Amino acid sequence: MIIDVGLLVKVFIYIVGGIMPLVYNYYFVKRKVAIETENTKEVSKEVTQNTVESKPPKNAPVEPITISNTLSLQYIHDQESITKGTPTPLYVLLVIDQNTMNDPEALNKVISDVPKIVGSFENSSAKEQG
Amino acid sequence: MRVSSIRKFFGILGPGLISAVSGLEITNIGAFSYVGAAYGYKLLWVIIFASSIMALLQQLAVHVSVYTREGLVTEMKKIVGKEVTLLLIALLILANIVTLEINLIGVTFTLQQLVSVPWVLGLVSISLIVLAISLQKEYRYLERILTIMSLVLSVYIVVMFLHIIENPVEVGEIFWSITVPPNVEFKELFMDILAIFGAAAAPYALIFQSSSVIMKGMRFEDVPEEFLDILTGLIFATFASISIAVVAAAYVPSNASSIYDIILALRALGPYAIILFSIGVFASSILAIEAIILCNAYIVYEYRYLTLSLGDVVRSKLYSIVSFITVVLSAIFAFIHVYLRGNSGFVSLVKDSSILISFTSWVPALMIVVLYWKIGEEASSFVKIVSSLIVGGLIAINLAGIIALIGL
Repeated sequence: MIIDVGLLVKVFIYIVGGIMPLVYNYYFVKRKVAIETENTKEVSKEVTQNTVESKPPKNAPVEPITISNTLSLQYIHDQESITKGTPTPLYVLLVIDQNTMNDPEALNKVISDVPKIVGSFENSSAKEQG
Repeated sequence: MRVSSIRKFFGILGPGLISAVSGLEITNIGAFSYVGAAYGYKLLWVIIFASSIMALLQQLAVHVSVYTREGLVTEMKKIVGKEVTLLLIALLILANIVTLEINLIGVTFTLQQLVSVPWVLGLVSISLIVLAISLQKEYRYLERILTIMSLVLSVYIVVMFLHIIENPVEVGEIFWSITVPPNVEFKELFMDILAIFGAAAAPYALIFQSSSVIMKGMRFEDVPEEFLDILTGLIFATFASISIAVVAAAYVPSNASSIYDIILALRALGPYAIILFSIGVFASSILAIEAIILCNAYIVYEYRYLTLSLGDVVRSKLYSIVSFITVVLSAIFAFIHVYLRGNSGFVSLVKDSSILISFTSWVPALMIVVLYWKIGEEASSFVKIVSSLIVGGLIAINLAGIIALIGL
């Protein structure tokens, strides 16, 4: 049986250059989205587990939150910027209600839990990249 | 099948079919009718191949835009600088003007066929109408009417089915020609293959794909759904394109030259053929022309002001200026083109324009692939390599086409 090599090459180019990358790209992005969603869920779970609740002091007035100043903590974490190849700072925004603010013990626990949450986040990122 | 499944099926079928049929303009109809009439089913696979490449580039445009959150022109300016970007957008605008020019000619010749209006008068009238519509700025209602009118082009699908019912043996032949590229002499058909690529390319569609992603504020998790839409669109658009080539193979004379010859593909519809063809071509071509004008204004505006909103573009003074220049240049090109070609017929004009569009179709493709490489690990290595080979191949075959055309 004689194999028509020219025809095989044509069919190969037709499939690999035409339909295949389209379908492959769809599944590639779908998988990426699934991984990203899973990571987000894990981080959310971690954050929920580390949520600190404090009881409001009796007869304490509830005042609206006003952000008067911001403080950013720069942390050289393991994710590299894809464009520059330089380390990207990770910013952590803590949302603390007035009751926690007035409770030094609760406030201390919130702040001391930050490295744990960041560590967990970075582990999941490293797993994904690895 | 459950009721929800049927609903879901028609939910996909409806919009898919509407966008595929209304996306057909005279360049596609002319080029696919010509290849169908001249080569039968031999080049059906080229239509699928070219459409698949276009769909892949659309996917990449979505992926890149979701990631960068900036327009293609803005990103290219950062990478290759202002001057090179200016050259690239000049080529893109040229491709758009050529597409617009052949649409003006198509509508003019159809009008001439229908009511015997002299072509010069027809061309001036159509140019003024499209300019008036674009300067109107707000034409959503008209756009809906034109989209509905363009649906009459689905008669090509109906006629194909009628033909297949009469000749059931041909189903196997069509399927085989689509699946396995038949043995053809590439050197002889080179220019016609380029014409198919040009007709399928629609460079302006990639710019709109990118801008719509940014304007909708699409998130990464929405991308698979958008990809699915592109795949569905590809299936329907290819189906519509194949139906044109199949009915042309069956009913159009192999030496087709005039617009009348192209209309003969619908001869099964008797006296209604010319009316339905005229309505469909008029509506779909006007839609395409308005999209092209908007695309030209968008890329010029983005180059100057880094905008992300089509609304800003349409409200600007620059939009009116670009619209005016685009329509006037296209009308002048159309006059020169018809004058130079003399009485050689509409098919020759479509072939010329499709080849010219193909010569510049690699520009948005190159922009998108360069940006896809820049998004790093977010991109697939396999797709990076394949898309680079595709763009490299496009540039190479178009260079070969230019060399062949100037007779070197």
